[in-house]
Amino acid sequence: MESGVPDASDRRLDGNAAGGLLGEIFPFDMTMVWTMCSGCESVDRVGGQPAYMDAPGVVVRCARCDTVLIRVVHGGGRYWLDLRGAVCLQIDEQA
Amino acid sequence: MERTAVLGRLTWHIGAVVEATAETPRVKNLAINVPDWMGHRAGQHVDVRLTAEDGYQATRSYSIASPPEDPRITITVEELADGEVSPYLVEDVRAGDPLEFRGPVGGYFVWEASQGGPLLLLAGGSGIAPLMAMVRHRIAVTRAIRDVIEPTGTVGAGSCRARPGSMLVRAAVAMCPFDCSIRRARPRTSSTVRISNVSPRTSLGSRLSTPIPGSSRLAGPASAGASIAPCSRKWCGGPISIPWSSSVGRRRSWKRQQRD
Repeated sequence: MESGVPDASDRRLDGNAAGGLLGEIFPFDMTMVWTMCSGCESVDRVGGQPAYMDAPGVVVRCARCDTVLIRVVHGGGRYWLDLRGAVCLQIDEQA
Repeated sequence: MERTAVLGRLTWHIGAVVEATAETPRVKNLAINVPDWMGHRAGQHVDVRLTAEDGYQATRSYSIASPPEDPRITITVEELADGEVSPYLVEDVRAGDPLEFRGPVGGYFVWEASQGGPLLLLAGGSGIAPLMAMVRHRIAVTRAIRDVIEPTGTVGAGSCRARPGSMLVRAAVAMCPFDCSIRRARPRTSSTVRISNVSPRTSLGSRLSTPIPGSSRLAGPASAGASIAPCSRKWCGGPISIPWSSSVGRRRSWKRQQRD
């Protein structure tokens, strides 16, 4: 990182890192929630997907095809939540 | 899931650092005392938040390295040269300082002794932290450790070492940039893999002729995860945690939070 700009591989965390912020919105553990990707229809839990915490907002991507699954921006007393990349969420009653 | 119980976990608390011990010159363990800590499971993490004098805030996630049986929580922080938060936590924080955090967060990477084994644990650098919580939890529950992860090469900066004389000799597995190879332990006597020399640029999967039964946990920097993750999914299917982030920003002055 000579120029001071990190490349994508250094910025990538896992979906667990987004758990705290998502927990401000959802009253359950979002890292355990299953998502189906709108790009490739693969299914995995949010905790298992790559997450980028330093984008403008937080971005969770599909581990297989890199489609943006979830985007959250928090500021000015509001949360913006973009779930277009996820076809659906599955929330188990018993995690 | 109890909604109110989950919401309670996500409140920001201010705990007190009771001990700050260096593992290596760049890695520090911070033991934090939290009034009314509701407990955690091995593999979970906390979000730590620092606030500067001008109100700027930065939040980072750190896995809890202490087991659920320990009344205080311990996080392991590796100082990144260009980090925004880690230099403060490693160099400036002293015992007695307050620290703002929330948690525990996340059930995805959890391992509980009731799940049983065998359990393969692979870690790079400070990724060892959640795995240490799992190992310490197992020790507390079973009073015996048969599962040892033991690197035979040099362990790099950022690893956690057990104290001499403790049951667990080495818990750190340096995947980058050291050479280690994988030698399978006898399946009847040990349920983990002994790591000796692995080239970081070689896929681990190619080193293993047959899948390892049981579940796995893999944690480490993204650069290590990139080569390990596909292999882990292929032969263990266990969750992977990539907790290391490199944050670019000028070194900041963080103000100490007022205790509750």
